[in-house]
This record gives sequence, C-alpha cells and structure tokens, in this order.
Amino acid sequence: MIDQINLREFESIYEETYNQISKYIVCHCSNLEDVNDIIQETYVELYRILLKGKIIENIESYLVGIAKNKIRKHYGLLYKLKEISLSSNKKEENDLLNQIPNDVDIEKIMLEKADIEVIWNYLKKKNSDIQRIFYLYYNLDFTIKEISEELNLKESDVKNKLYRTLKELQKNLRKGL
Amino acid sequence: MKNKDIFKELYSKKINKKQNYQNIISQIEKGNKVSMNRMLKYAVIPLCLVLSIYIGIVISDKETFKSKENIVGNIRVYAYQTIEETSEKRELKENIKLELSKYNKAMSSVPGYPIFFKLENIDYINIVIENGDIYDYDRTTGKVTKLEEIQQLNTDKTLYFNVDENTKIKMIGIKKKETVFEKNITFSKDSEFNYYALLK
Repeated sequence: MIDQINLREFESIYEETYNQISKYIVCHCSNLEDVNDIIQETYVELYRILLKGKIIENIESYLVGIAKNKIRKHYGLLYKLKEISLSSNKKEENDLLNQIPNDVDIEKIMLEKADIEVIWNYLKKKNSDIQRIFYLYYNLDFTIKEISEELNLKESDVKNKLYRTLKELQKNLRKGL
Repeated sequence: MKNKDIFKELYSKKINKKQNYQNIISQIEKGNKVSMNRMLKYAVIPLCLVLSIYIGIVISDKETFKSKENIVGNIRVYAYQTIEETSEKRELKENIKLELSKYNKAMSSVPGYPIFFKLENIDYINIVIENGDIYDYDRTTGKVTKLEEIQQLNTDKTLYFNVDENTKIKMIGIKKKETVFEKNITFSKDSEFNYYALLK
C-alpha cells in the first residue's frame, strides 16, 4: 500500500516538474528509447526520498540531480565513449550542412504520410543531437535559438539538422519505408 | 496534417506523461512488495543459517560422542613381567610381544598367569578362552576357583590363566548391547620355556 498523503504530494510535484525534467532527460539521453525508463526511475527515487521524510527546498533542482545520476548510471562508460566518437564526426557533418541555404523554410517540408511508428523508428536511429532537436522543436515548441542555447549548438547547425532529417524522412515516407 | 501535429502526436504516444506516472506508481507498489519480501528473505535466511548450524552442531556432537565412545570404549590388558627380579605389571600393547614372568604351577601359589583387565567406558567384556583354563584367586583366603570358558567382566579384575602355545583369550567389549571391540591374546614360547603374550 502506498501512503495516500505522500501520494497526493508526489502527484502534485510530478505535475509541476514533469516538463522540465523530461526535457532535461531528453537532452541528456543518447537515445529516445531510454527516456521513459529514466523519467520513471527518477520519480520513483524521489518518492522513496519523500517517504523518508526528507525536506527538499528546490524540488526541481533536486530532481535534475537525481536524473543526472540515473543517466550516468544508465550509460556508464559506454556512453562516454559514444559521445567522444560522435563529436569526432561533428566537423565533417558541419561542413556538409553548411552547404544548405540559410533561408530554407523547414515548415514547407511536409511529411505526407504520418506513420508514427515509421517516424519513431527512423528518429531512433539518428544521432542524439537530432533526436533532441526534434523533441525540443516539435514537442516543447522551442525556437531554433532556444534549441541552440539549450544544446550548445550553432543556430545554423540546428536548422540544418532539422532540414536534412525532415528531407530524408519525407523521402523515406514517400518510398513507403 | 502539419508536421508539428504529427510530431506532437508522436511524442505524446512515445513519451506519455500519464503512462509514465502509472508506471511510476506500479514500480513504487512493486518496490514495497519487494521490500517486504526482501525483509522476509533477510530474516528467513539468517534464521535458516542459524538453524542449520545448530543442527550441524547437534549432529556432530552426537557423532563425536559416538566416536568418543568407540575410542574410549576399550580395554587395557596388563600382564606381569619380571624386571630385575621383581614382577611388575606391564600393559600389553597391540602387536608387541610381552615376555611374561616365569611361572611354575607347582612352585607357585597362584593358579596361573595373572592378567589384569581394566575396562574403559565399556559396559562389560566377555572373555572366552580356547585351549586353556581360567581361574579366579582370592588372595585373602587363598581360594582358587576354576571358571567357565566364557566369563563376563563388568569391573576391573585380575584373572589367572593356565596357558600353552595354543591358548587364545578372546575379549569382546560390549557397550549398550553392541560389540565395540574384539581383541585376542595369544601365547608363544621360546626355547628356554619363556612365555610371551601378544595382544591383537
């Protein structure tokens, strides 16, 4: 049995902090598939701490701390190595992206067939920057500028990655993949 | 349908706030059950450990007692040897010949070779003689009594034996109605008619 009083308090904390914490986790996970697990682990940990009667002044910061630890544990050394290997390709990627015109309107790239599973499976395979950009842009309505600040990327890089991925996705959906 | 709508729908399905909350609650509930089970496990396992150690001690104690009984359930046999013209009591050791003090029935007041039986943690021994005689001798009165070929001793006692080279004295130790040991004393003679006793 869960303590009902604690549960009400917990639910209210969940409602207030979910967007921020899920955003943090998405921006720090290397794969969207892991996001749900880490969100759940983070809040379960919080519940256990609240049950012990610990008084937390800044719940959101505390939750970010828990999420950080969960992400670190989740990925461990593999994650660090993966991050290093990704960053080594960044320069090459940036050179390619620089060829895309700056005035391209992303919203004009329409995905004609909205197959959720296909889009999801496609996005999962992309690198973590692209996954994060899409989430922030489409789910949390971040602007290009806000995304660039959040992820410490150039605005042009953010826009170009969005454009390129959407183009590829459009092409794949037309092909029926 | 706009791209934004497509992706909103995508993320609402794949990273669903309500679904995550439900999963969190069930994990918490499961965690509580696991904690209870874990507590029980942590209580039961040490308990079983303690119990098994206790049983082990009890069993090994019984076995030790049993083995102690086997070791202590024994008999020490003493015969008499002449040392510097004095007849002295000597313990018969297994597989070691002991030269017995010279005995001449005609010249002696005792009826035979004296052998002292000392019982150790045994209920009684049965003494069986083959090719010889057993006597009892009362030193106070000088009375000699010939005994049956099978004698039961439940205390330490000296018996007297009329022996020759074919004589065999069998000793069977009994403890709680079970045979604990069987030992034999055999005799041999040398050219000078000195008798030797051998315990096996």
